[in-house]
Amino acid sequence: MTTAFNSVFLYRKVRRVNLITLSVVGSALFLQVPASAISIRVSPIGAPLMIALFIALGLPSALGFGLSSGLPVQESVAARRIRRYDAVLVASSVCAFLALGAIGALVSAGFNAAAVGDTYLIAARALMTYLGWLLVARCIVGWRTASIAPALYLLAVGVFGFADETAAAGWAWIGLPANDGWAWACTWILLGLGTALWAFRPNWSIEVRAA
Amino acid sequence: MLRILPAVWLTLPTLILSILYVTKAIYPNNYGVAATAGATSSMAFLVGFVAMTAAWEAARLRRGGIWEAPHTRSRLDITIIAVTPSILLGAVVLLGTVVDASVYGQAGMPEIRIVAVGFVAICSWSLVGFLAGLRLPMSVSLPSMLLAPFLWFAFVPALPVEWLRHLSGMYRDCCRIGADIAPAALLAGLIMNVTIIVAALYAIGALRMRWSRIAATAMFVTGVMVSSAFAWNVGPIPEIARDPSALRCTEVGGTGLCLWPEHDSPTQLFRPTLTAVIVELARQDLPIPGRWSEELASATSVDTLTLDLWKSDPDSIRWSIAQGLAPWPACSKIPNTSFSDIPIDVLRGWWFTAMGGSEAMLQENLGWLIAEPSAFGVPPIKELYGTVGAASVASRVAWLERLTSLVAECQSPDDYSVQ
Repeated sequence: MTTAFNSVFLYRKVRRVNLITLSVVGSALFLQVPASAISIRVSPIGAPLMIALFIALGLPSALGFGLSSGLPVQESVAARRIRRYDAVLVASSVCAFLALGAIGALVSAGFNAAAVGDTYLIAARALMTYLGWLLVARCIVGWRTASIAPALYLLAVGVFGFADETAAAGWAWIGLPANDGWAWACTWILLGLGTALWAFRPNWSIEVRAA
Repeated sequence: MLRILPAVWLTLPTLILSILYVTKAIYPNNYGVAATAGATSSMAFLVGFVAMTAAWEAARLRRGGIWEAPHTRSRLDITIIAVTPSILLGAVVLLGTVVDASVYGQAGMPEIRIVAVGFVAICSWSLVGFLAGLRLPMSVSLPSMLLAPFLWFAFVPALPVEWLRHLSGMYRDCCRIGADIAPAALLAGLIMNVTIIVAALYAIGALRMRWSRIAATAMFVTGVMVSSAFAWNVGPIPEIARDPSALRCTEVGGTGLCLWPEHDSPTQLFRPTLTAVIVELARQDLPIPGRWSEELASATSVDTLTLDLWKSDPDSIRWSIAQGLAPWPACSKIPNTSFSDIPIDVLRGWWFTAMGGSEAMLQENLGWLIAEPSAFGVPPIKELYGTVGAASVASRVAWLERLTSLVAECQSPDDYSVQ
């Protein structure tokens, strides 16, 4: 019993669960800031949209940091299924963000009737996209630098994704309207690809290969 | 060494991206200051790569235990050696982008002052990135250093506090051809970035000062205040009027025509087109200002048409003239003024037609009004222009003066017909 408690405690400490929890709560709270009215332009008018996209980056970065901690070589051959703990950690933090954000969106909509619901949906979609990029990048560059991938994508969207300032390009789907089918399809495909790579090729990682 | 430096790998792709971005972001207007200032718009993402690669180097030194080990070189030397590749990345890309903007903009020599401030900004962010790499884990420092400059260069200028945008060292809003970069804006950017350099060097541990923490904080606060003081009075666009003695002026049938040297070369169409337009309008006895000039409008610009020329084809020149002859009135800037811009568009379209402008350009600019005039409370535009053109000189002039005076008072005419 003590061993199990110690191992969970150690896991929480190594994976920076406290930081991840803080990023979930902080991101969900920031999304409720009244400035987050929806607008689909990267301009002074559109700043709240980009703010939502930046807020959504917090959790994947924290997850990347937490999952990069520890000893990947040893974990890949450990008796305990560390990967299952990691999967639970990722799934629970994402679900917590979605739940807290949804509650906040409903509460905010009741107060000021702003389209905060759309902002929440866009942030949720962006979060899933970033997670997908994180999981795909893990196979190429390892956990330690995988969080560059979602940041690079966000930078590319911010700089090049709104060429005509009226709508985001197809590849910059995180900037498309909340109900855009193409954007959600891309999001689910990327997340599915990243999850599949993580689930079925857990040792496809530069840190493990280098050992 | 070169093999493991990310700054080396990233130089060429960043340069290509930067050139592509600037080519879409700026428009050729033959003016070196504007081209150089427009080139600095790529700093929004270029500096992110500079800071990220510096953070990478710092993380390498930290994780390898090299930074904490005793060494013969000073920390300042080690820092400079480590960030030099990142600074070179930034310098090469910035210079390449500036040269491309000057060539693409047909602008001649770049404005060196703007490039110098941009280089200092690159140095400051390389040190900030180095500091982040030393203090934070890679999974946090790399993405944050990639995005923090984007927030600084793209978001801060978008804030309603206008003077903040002059602190960054990016001057993408500058300058019309009649304007020069404001020295106060350059100083604000320079001082702010030097302040960041000093503060970063201190935080890295590369700079020792007496009463260290207090001195560093005081220097930082002073630097921010001084740079803000310079930026405070600049206004939303970092420009000042150019010296009008550089204008090249000629007389066209009693009307003075003054152009800047960048628009007055033998191969350009500005002067020939403007001369032809002045002659044509004078032939029609239309009331035109006695002086046409590219210098910025000022309180002393009485009876002067301020030209804002940026495209060099004859139709675009004519449309720019039409915009100058039917400008937005001062009363439209007063808050809560209900003002319709339809009369201005009608006037501009008429002037453009009177100058012999093409049907295609008229359609491009006023196609929405031509298609559904009744939706905007005007008669069919082409018929109106034909009627006005066929009327007597006195009627035509009276029609122009009536509409112009109503627009000047932010009013719309009840009746657009010629009387």
